[in-house]
Amino acid sequence: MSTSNATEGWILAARRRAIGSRARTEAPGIVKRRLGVCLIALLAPAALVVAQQTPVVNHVADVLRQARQEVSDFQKAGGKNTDPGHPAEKWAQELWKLRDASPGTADAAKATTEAVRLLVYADRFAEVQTRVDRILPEDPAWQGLARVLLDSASRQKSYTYFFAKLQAILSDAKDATTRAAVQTALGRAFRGQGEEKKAEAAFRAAIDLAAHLSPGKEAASQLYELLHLSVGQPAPTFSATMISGAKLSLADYSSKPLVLVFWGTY
Amino acid sequence: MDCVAEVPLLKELYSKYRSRGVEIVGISLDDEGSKVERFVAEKGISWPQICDGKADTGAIPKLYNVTGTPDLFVIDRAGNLAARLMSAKQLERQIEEVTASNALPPRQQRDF
Repeated sequence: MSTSNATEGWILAARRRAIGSRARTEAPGIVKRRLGVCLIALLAPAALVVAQQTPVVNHVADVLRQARQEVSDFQKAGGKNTDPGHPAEKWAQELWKLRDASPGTADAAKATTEAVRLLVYADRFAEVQTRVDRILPEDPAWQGLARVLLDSASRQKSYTYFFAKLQAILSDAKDATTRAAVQTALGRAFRGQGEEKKAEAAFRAAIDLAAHLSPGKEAASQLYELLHLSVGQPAPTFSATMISGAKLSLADYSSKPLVLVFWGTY
Repeated sequence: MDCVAEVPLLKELYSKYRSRGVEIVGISLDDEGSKVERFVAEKGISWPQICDGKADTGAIPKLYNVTGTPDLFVIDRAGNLAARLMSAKQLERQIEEVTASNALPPRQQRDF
């Protein structure tokens, strides 16, 4: 794996995270008000837990910052993913120590997810599997791991382990958020492979499990894209006022190839 | 990755393919239309521009599930989505495909 590819991987990962964090309830009218009260009730204890664990969270964030810096320096210096002694190995170990220091907590989950992500982007697939196979279905780390393993499968161009692992987690895990995160990652994988029916079912399952939480919102956004923005489907039509003041309608462009460029001057 | 950096490429593709019927519409996620107006005048961007000042909460970005830029949609002559791209770098190949012939690209198989 070349340096530029590896760097691109980081950029893509960062972008996906950015997009994920901005994901909103895109699908029309999904449960905003209905679960508002419920959401507050759920978040209050969670906020308390986070507040108590702030020092450790910072620690995970600190270690992660150092790890990313070192990987970036390594790549800039011409280091390759095929090189032994890739810094991802060392930092994955450091993060795993943090995981072991506070088992079952949100910090441990974050440390686990990021450790595996480091290994995935260094193409350490064998080590990814060894470590992931030790993580029990009830571990909250699965909420982040499901998606990281999808990136792993995509980099490795083999989905065998991904599907086997996630189906196993799905049949054993009881936590709704974990199940939703797994369904959402499965849905993305099915979508990527053109299995639209299975993708739709997985996204709907994730929405049913956790409509108001991050994996459910991501599933709603993915489902909207699957149903309305897939290649071959009619482009959603609109009309609007241009900055020139004139009206523009997508219908004006019938029989012409058209490129919609969403952009910004920022 | 940067929208502004891709403007020269878009201008080049626009002038190259316009004679083959290809059109571009810009939908800016800026918070002020006046910024876009100034920018397109400065850079000599001649394709139509839409900006409602609502950034990614505007109606059209929501319709196309756009949360970050650049985000490009290629639409064929039949009005169907042909591609979605995160950069203009692969745009020429896609434009070549939708302009290659009058034949429409095969619709993706859908059985639900």
